[in-house]
Amino acid sequence: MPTQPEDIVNEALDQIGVEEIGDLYEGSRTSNVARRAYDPMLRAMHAAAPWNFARRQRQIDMRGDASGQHHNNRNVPLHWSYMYEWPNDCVHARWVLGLDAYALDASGVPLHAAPAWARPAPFIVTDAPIVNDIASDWDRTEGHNPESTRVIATNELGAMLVYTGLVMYPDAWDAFFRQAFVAALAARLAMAVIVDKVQARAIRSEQLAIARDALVEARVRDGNEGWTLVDHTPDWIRVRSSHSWWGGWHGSGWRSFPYVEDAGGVY
Amino acid sequence: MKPEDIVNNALEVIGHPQRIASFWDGSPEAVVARDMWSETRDALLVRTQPEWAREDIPLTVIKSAPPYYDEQTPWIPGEHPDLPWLYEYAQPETCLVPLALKPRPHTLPVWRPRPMRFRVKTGSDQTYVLLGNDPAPILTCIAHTHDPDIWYEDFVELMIATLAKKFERLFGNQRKPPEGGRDANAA
Repeated sequence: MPTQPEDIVNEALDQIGVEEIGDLYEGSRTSNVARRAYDPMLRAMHAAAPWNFARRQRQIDMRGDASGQHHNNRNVPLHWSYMYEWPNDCVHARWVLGLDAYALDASGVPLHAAPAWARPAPFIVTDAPIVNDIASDWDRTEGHNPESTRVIATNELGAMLVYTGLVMYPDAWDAFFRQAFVAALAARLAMAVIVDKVQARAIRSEQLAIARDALVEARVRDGNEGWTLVDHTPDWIRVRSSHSWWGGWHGSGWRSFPYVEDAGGVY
Repeated sequence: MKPEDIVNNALEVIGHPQRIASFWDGSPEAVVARDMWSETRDALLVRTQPEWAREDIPLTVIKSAPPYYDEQTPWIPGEHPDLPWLYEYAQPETCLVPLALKPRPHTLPVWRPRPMRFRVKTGSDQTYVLLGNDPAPILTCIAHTHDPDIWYEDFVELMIATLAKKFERLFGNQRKPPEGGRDANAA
């Protein structure tokens, strides 16, 4: 039997010395509080660090093209060329992989892509007026609501997004993530389920410190895990050599405008 | 263990000399015990909410909100659930304390548990009803659990202690004297 959310909640309860629950719907005060806290905390902890176990990469779905060439919707935020849907499982957009594609084939695969040039491309995360059916599962889908949809605007055609995906299955988490999540959940539950509020505050602080330490360790460990070469020119240097007739046409200067906004950073 | 055994235990705790044969044996102790039994049992179930008394019961919708309220479809208390709820359900007869509502899941386990609010209110015919936002939820509740054979021992003990406390007020002055009582006291 795989580890379930209830098992994680019980681990958190063990940490704060509170009686375990049977299931999250049993109706006890503890289970009710845990049911409210579990999912938001899970997403928050995913977004808190660039966890290697949750790294995902895929070509994202186009929802707008300012030129109208590849998509009927031309309502793309200025001054971006393309707009892509926020992936259903995405908790945090890390970076858009710039492939310098000039066109898409019939199946939507970017043509003349040059992965060897893979470099972070500028992008923003924004909200676009793309409506979702109110009868759909929009409430269970990241970045979707009846009135609008969270999108990624970039100048890359056939953009590839590297992001942190939501991993719902505790057995797939790495040890540091589990430790951090359990501690953060314990901190969240402490005030609600421990009767002595003075003691609860002390326990909450302890658990928050454990969660923080686990996050720091995870950042270091994930940084050391694998071989990473961030081989790109910073925006503020790139801008010097493009966008002007005297600066030349280096790289993809024109298509990378504007440079300034970067929601995800580079991991 | 039968209910009468628990009552007799409670009588013995206060040192009462009489025992009951049944709730209907006509003795004053039986009459009092019969009056107190169900109320005490239910009060303790409500208070302690033991795991063994929990039960899942599908709810039946008795009122539902229209897709929207406007001049043509105004909110009518007798026809629609209280605002801003979407559904009103009958509280099952066996339910003593509603604890939680849960949706009928498509797949198990549920990897992303979600909270589900509800409220209890008194319906138009003076019975309890529940308000919620799911079209077909399942109610987890403390159910009426009458059979002492399925009670855990600590609950039986609690029942004895509580009944003894109540009997104390009524029968406390009828305690049997201690062994060799008078002579010993006189000495």
